Amino acid sequence: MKLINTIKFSNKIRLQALKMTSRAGTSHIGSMLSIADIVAVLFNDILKTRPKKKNKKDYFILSKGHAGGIVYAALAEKGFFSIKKLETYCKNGSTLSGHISHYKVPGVDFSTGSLGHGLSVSCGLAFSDKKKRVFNLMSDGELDEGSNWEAILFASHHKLSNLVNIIDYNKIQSIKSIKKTLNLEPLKKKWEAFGWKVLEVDGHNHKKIFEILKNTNQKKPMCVICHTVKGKGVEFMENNNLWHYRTARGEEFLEAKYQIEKKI
Amino acid sequence: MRDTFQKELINISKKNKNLMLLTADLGFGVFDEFEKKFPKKYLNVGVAEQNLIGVSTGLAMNGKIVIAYSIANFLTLRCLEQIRNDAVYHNLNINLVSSGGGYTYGVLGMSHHATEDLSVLNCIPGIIIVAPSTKWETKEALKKLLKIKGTTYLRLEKNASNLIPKDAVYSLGNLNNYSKGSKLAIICVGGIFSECIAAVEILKKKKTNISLYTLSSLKPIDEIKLIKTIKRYRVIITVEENNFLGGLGSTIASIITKYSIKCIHKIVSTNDKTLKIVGDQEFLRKQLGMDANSLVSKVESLIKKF
Repeated sequence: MKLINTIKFSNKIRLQALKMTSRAGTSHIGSMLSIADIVAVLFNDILKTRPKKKNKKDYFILSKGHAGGIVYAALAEKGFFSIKKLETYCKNGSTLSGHISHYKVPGVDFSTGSLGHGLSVSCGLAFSDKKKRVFNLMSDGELDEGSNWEAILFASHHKLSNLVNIIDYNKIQSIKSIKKTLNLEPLKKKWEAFGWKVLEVDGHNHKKIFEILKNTNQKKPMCVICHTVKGKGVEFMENNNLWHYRTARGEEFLEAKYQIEKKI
Repeated sequence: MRDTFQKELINISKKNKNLMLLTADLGFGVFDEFEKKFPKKYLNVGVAEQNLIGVSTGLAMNGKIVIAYSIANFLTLRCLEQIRNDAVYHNLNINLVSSGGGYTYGVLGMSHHATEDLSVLNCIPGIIIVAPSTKWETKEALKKLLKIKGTTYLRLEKNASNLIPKDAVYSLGNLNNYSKGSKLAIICVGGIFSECIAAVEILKKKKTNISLYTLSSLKPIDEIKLIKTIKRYRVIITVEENNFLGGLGSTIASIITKYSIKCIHKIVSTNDKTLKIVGDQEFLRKQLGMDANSLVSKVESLIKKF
């Protein structure tokens, strides 16, 4: 891992996501910035699947499909399709939908959008081919969905040691904080009680995320609780739930762009 | 029907290394032989239907041909979004097989009355829906469905007839003929066939010959072949142990309208009603006028009109 490359990559995809959402006038930029560093480490340093290679070596499912823009950006930056295609994001007639879709989008393993679907599918993938690693990235609010807990039981019962579930734990869900909506704590203990190996990490520390994700010597399914900041990388978006919905326009867009660009 | 299914499944599994049978903790005793013969192909995911479809999706993405089994309502209504978004949208070879279609579990109450499964799934573009009426249809359907790259639904009921249709060629979307008559034809799907064929026999004794067809799949339908047959009759009666909305009744009605066919179409179904009483299948069918004698009365009153 070359840390400087991954950091640069994370800010490149941040910038693309900002441009995409602003151009299209769509929401969820806060959710995308929250996972930009995790996605950067995955696509830059962890995932083995490459464009135009037929044999799949691993799977990545973005269960929080509303943040799909940042994954599209990562895929385009990695050459799965052209950067130009990103300009069609959420535009009439485009296949780059606001919630991640695999249809005619090279590199997307699975379409999501309704929360609580990804982990079950990841379980099926991990169960059927133990040689492939499967990464599922979910939001914290998504854990309100009961279907996840069906999958959490399944994964530990079948000792799916090739499965990694990553939680984007920014502590804010759709309307208010997790704490005020449906408290998840003690989150680590819950997953441990369900039989998973659980690690906690700063979800913006590339090196630490990499150290955890590169480890293939698992005996149990692994859950990585990434402590993140919603809107990370743009000061006025950080920890502000408004940016789950709002589009950066005019001065706001220019300021956000400036803050990200200076780190590239 | 379920017995035919599990026996045929064992035969197919011997030749198909990628087949997997998943159950959401139902089918007590039914799959013992399958599990014994193919322990690695059998997986009980527990009482978790959403996860059943999610896991099936992951398995199918890795090349498995999946059969996901549960009781009809649990398998279709509890996890409808997983069926739509995960299985169908990704065009994966996932075969939903349910038991307890219609009022098979009549005495168990409303939760187990599977009378909307066909309708609800029928609204999902791209899914294939089969409600076989006979053992022959069950066997042929299973063979066909497993070969299709896509999501399918096979609705099984308790009893199935041993009859084989007159031409005995099975293809999806077509009519299977079990009785020939003129002027009036019954078209049905599923186990209600037993009442329909009984009605045909009663009428035959009364010197009234009517046609009886089963529709091999509610979706897809070969409309051109279907209208050719429908046009031969002045009266069509569709019979289903299911709500007509989205079911057989509305499907045939929409085809009749689409092609401006001049015929009388009568629908026999659960008629958009939820039964709040319980009873065995025979009893509940009578309550809704879909038993053999009620069908005979309907046919006779219609015939008097022309």
